[in-house]
Amino acid sequence: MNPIERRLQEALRDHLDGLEMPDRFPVVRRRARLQRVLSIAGVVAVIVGGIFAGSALLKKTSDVPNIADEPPSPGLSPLTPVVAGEIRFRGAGAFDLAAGSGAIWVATHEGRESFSTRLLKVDPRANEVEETGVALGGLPAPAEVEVAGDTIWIRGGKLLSVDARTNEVLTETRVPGLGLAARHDSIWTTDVRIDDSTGRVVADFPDAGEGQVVADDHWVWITRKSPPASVSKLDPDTNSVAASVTRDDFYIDTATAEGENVWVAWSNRQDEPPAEITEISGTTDEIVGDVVPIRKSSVVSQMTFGAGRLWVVGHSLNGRASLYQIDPERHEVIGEPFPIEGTVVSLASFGNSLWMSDFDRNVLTRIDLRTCGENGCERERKAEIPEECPTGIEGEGVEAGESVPPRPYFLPYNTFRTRIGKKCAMVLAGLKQKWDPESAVEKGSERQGMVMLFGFPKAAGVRDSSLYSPLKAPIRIVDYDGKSRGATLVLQSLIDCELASFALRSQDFGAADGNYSCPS
Amino acid sequence: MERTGTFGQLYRAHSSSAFRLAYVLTGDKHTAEDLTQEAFVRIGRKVIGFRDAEHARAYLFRTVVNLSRGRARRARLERAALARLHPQGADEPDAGPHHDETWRALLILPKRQRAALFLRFYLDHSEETAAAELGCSLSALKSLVSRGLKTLRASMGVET
Repeated sequence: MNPIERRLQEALRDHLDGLEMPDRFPVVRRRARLQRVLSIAGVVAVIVGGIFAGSALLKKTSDVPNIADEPPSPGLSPLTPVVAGEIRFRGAGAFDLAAGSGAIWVATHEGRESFSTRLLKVDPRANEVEETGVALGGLPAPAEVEVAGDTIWIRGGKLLSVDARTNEVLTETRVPGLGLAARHDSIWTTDVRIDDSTGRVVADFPDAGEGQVVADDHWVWITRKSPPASVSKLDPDTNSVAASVTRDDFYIDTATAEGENVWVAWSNRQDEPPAEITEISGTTDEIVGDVVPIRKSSVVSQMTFGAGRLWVVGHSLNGRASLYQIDPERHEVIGEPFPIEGTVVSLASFGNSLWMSDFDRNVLTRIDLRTCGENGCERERKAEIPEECPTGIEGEGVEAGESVPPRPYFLPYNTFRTRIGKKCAMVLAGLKQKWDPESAVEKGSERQGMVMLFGFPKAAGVRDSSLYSPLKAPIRIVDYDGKSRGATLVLQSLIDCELASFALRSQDFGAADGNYSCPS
Repeated sequence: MERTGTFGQLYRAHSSSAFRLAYVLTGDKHTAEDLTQEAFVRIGRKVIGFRDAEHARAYLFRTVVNLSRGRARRARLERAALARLHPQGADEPDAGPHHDETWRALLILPKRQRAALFLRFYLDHSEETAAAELGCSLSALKSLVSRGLKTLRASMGVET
């Protein structure tokens, strides 16, 4: 260990040893405490349980519109994406779109000559468009949108930051350079770095490139479009170019960053050979793996990662656009190109969907990235359910490690199977969370909890939600007591650690009562 | 067997480390407490799905690092707002004991470098483990540590 390492270690020990996290999650000695609580709060429990159970009538998950939960269309060839829907909005077309903070954000325009843009927010669960009221105009156009956490950055004549939850404009500034990327607590253009909290320019690099800026957790990449085209790696710790990769006789049409590498689309417009895509390592600063030729397209205009694949919009000489999917491990185009209409100017992935905006049409296209295999189309399951159906959970707490296929509301925390009366059921309880398969940890109503009950209809062979009860606090299950005609869950609030009981009754299976069976 | 379980065990085993990591990343005890709690609330939803304790710990640390990014920005905005509302009375952040030159130099490093140094030199985790905990490659971890030490060395005027 050298002197600086030793000093660092000493400083860390000096300042951190003895620093303890206050116990905000007291361990509940359930048996003793539960008996006490249950005996005191028995009457309250019944009332609370009745209220909760009654609320099942208010909402069922099956009522929540969610295109992602629709079954895939039959008869699709393997690896063929499915157009899941088109969403119309007010305006003439879109400049750009970005996905994040639970929504799709779209910068629209009013026509080819227009420099004004409005920011729209699209709820991907309901496919509903919301006007944010944020508008701006002026050069540079087209406008660009980026999402960083719960802040939306939109750039037209000015650069605005917008609170994703309230649509309130937080900051407003002007910035030089082209492009927009939000990472490392900063906003980046091809020319400058801007502190995202103050809106001030903190560094400039005017010679890095004039094309596009993309960023990952490690680096910021800036492209120079014209031959000899280059992509430069900017070190966010020093704000200086750390390495460049240049190819003579090539243009760079677009780039996207993933992990610590950048994927670059190159084209040679002299004799129009197929466009090429390369992966450049942020560690070695060299092209890694095979160059991927996009055989039927000479130019690639858009790229993004989604569902573990690189999605590419390529354009052929006759102007036709196609969507390609590339296996990033094997550096190969997989499946057949998927023809797409219009003038696609932006591409973003969100969950199992790919979103495309069109410059000339006021339509967003949503493509389902789930693919079909040899045995037909089946959506990915999160986990297999064990065959056995326990009649209840004995002992302390409940933590059966089971999760369910994606639903509008997804509860990975406490799920278990049980029997209520003569029926086999699955109980889910925990944190209420809007389903977002891409970043399930990041999204959702974190301050709320919920309880759900699923039955197993005889005919369909799939679970059917028959009770949904939102709660005021995120909770976990600390005990369960199954009885012949009902069961009692004991829940603990993760906010104040209070305990409450929740009654599950056999009647909660709803109208289809009698048609349920336990899976063998 | 105690069924509270995986979550309770994870909390008892790693809450202090997570809190200390959060403190190194934010320089503020209150923010670090909030951040650690939030990390556990979030991880609570996933805890049953982890392969093993190491995987869960790595996920916890990554969550702390990720949360610290947005949190630091929010804290700066809150402080700026407080300063505007109460120019004389705005609370200064609890930046810890700043008399130590090394500590001060550490707190101005980029967050991922700070996290990498914390994992390597405080928790004494191997490079492979620290890389998994930060969700990056081994070479990226080495680069973070090397750049962090280099900056520390420069800011403290220590000869190599």
